[in-house]
Amino acid sequence: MKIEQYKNDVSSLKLSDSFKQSLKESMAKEYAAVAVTQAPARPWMKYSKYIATAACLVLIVATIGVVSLMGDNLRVEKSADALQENNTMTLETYDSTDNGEIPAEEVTDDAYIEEDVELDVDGDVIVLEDDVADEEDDVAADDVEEEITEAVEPDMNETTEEAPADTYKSAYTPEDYDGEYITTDYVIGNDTSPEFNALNISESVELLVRYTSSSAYEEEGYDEMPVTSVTDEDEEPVAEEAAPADVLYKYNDSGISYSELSLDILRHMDSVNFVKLNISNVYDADEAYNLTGEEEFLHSRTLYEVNVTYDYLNGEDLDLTFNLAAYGTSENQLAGRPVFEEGESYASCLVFDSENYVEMLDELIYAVHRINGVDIAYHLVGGSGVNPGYTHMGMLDIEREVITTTLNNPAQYTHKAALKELYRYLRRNWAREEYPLTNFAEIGGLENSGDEVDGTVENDQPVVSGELVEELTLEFAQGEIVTTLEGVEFDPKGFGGEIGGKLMNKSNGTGSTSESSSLRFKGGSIAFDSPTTFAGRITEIIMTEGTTLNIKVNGVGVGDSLEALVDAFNIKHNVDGKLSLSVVTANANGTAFTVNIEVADNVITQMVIK
Amino acid sequence: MNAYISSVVDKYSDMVYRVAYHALCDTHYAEDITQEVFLKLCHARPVFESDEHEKAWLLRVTVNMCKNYNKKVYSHPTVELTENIPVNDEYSDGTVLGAVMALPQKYRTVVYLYYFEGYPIKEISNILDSNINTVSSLLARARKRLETMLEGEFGNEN
Repeated sequence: MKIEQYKNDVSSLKLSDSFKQSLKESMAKEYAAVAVTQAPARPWMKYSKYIATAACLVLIVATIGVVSLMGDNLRVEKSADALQENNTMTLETYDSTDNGEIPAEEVTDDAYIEEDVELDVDGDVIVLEDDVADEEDDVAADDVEEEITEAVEPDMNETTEEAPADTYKSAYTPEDYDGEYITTDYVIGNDTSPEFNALNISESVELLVRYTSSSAYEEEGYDEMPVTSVTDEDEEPVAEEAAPADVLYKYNDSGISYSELSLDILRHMDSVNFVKLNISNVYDADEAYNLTGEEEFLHSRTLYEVNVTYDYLNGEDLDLTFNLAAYGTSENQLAGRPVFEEGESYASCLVFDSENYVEMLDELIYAVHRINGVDIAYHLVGGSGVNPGYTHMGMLDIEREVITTTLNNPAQYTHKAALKELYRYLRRNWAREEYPLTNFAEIGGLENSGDEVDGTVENDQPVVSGELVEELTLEFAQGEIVTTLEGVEFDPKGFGGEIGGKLMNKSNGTGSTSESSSLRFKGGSIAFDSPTTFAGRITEIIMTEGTTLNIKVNGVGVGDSLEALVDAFNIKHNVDGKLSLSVVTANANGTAFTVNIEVADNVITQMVIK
Repeated sequence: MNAYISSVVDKYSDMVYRVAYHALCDTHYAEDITQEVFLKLCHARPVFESDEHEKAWLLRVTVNMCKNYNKKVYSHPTVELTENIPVNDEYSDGTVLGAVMALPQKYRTVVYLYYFEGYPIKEISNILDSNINTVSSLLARARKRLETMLEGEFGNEN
């Protein structure tokens, strides 16, 4: 009824005839204009194209000849030139020119490890002898990298394929910026270094950050990151409340290098990973609290639904959904790191410390943007400001233009790198440390792909009784349901709500609830058989495509005969037991739920609860 | 060509306008988007395999243009924001459309494509370039909100 009303309402939304007429005229003009500009080239123009191509070929051949005579040193010079060019180019330039970005395939590791070079202030080439260079030169690790088969990188969302159309330029330009930037000395987090101060004491951010007590942050450690009060409603900067410069980002007193990160942070983890994830939903605070039961989500953290689409270390496509927790809320954001928005893409290392959600390793969060066909990873300002070691592609001060829709708390980036280069670097170094890689096939996601419509399991495979449920999410609403379990194993990551608490310690027996709950089952079988007490409805059943689920309604399940079905549901009309699909609505105590039952050869082959 | 232009405008302009209106909540902006979409059609001159292909192309372009428009709005403080922000749980005219338009933007387009255009979830996920699960979740949540707002079932009354 309401759908029909909605359709009627929408049908009344129409353009006026005059508008349509005007639109047609505009289109006719546009079409004619395009036709003129796309007129076929004259014959002599075609020939000129071939002549130009031939001239280019001759020039290339000549160049190759000269290069071969000049010897190996030229390659170092070219690498240095490329680096210098990269180091002096602004993000704006990248966005507006085809040649502005160094494509990932061109910026190979060889460009850096062929000779260990860096640039001094004047852009001259000097030879590196430090640890960073040694790390780059690990041949064994390179071999490991080559053994890993790489799948084709996934395409980005279409909306991110172009350079971000609308960028908000930070007002920040350091006073000591002279057009040169030495990226090899770039270690963020050392509060005595000019780079750190230049990065973080951004006037545009500082003025917008309101501190209630600056001293409160001086004792903050990594685990308790300060949440500054930057709100979207705060249009007017509050200069008098700005914190003293030396307490901004006071997470660690000194910057740590990538190798320290590897040893100190990653070592305690069971496994490492580096994945691409897309923010698919931002839960509001109440939803997050209900899902996790943690009050932190009411004031200082935000829960997101993310879709993990690619495992960079294993080179595999993934399609896993997780709930992801991150610091900051829309009202209470971390300075320089606004809350994520739906549709954004990130690359990071996922941490599986919590039962209810995953987290990103704070030091390795990269916003991913596709610019001129290349995925570029922008390193977000992190709690400890780690320089991940990829020093060659540090950012110019003026490159710290933000790409964000948040006006008063622009995202601050510290590095950028071609994503391909970055994950190769991480993979190589983590392989050398012999860190085990996360096996996502074992972990699985919160939800998996499947065609669920209206809470209906659209499963091509017949539902077979007795087999294990790989993964199943049930949501009960508005009523009480009695659930009979047989050897069910619950996944502790998927519990929420009252029914979760009641059923958690049961593998057999019966549980009931009147609360809306969402559960995640890891294995076992489950039957609903509650003709007298079930007064609600199952609103959502999510399970892995192809997995099996034992559903019984009113004692009838898959594999039972057509006669049993007819008896159980008191079906009066005839049912074609050979080929037809029968839809049966079972009413229990006045509340209906629909069961779609498929019958073939007088046997129930599929049952879908709607 | 004029015949084609006339035909395509008559056939799809209302649809494009409705999608834009659902996304932007403003008739003037929706008209602007409609005009841009059809001009883009002239400029791009895509070759369509079928009517469905043509319709899907127009829908996708419309959705993307609305996304871009929203990005512009949120990154340029001079653009008036108030007209584009729905009034959450309270809707003025008491109609079902009014309730739908009071939903957050991410729900409105999905509701329109599913209930008015009759696209299945999978097609909607293609048009929105989104995950099937995401679309499914959006639809379920939208329905839930609408049921609260309209004090009755929405979408389950088959």
